[in-house]
Amino acid sequence: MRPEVLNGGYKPATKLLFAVVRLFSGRPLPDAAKLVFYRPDFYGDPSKRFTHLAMRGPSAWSVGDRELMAAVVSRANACAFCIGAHTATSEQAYADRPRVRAVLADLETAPIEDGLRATLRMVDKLTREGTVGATDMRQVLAAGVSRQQVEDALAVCAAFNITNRLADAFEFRVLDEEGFAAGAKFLLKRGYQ
Amino acid sequence: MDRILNGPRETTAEQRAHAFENARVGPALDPLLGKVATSPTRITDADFEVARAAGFGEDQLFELVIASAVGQTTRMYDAALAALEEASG
Repeated sequence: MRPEVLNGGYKPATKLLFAVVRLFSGRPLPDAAKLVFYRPDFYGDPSKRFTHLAMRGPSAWSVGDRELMAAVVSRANACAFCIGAHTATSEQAYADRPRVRAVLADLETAPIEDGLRATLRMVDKLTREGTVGATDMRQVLAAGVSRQQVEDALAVCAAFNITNRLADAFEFRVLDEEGFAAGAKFLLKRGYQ
Repeated sequence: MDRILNGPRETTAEQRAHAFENARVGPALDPLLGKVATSPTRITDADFEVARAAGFGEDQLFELVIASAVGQTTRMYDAALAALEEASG
């Protein structure tokens, strides 16, 4: 990662934790997980709370839906680390790889619910263009999505617009397929806290 | 957001506020922070080197990059909530 302090600037107890994780999992902790341990009072602790609430808190959206939103947002930002991480997590959450691959290949023809499609279209536009208008929101609401569901989707979109930016700025190391699968398993078991 | 903008840190509250707002922080930092806000995939080691050469330390860069990322996202989130409010009215 860059700056260099994100590679070695952790407290001794944190370095020990990283070593234990590596020993038992056979893999180094992904950079996204390491980042939240650096000066956690500044970023890591509030980030974990916000992201966990958005991704695993009460919502009419399933965990798979929210991980899919994270993947779509990450793709809109062209963030390689987060695309890999949340594509894998969504696939495992749904236990349906073709569903996720179809959405990422072509949102308009993917075999998903109209409300989810309209919501994914809106968060994709918000991420690519930096804003959306009332017309965009009316289209989502007209597809049967509740106002609360829109707010929940916007929280997911916010969490990953921050994380995508940090992943590219701090240059998170992109994992191989097995690494992303292992990370997905962890995220589905433990969440983001 | 309060923890990022307020309190004693390695950068001044004014620097973090400017990074958050995607306003000018200084010529050595503006290319890096502007990319964090609008084109993060274009960030390179050279952007960090320019900032370091101007005297900015690792923790200062850590703080300002995060302030920029959170600020840009907050503007997007607020715009979307305003659109939702208008659509719901």
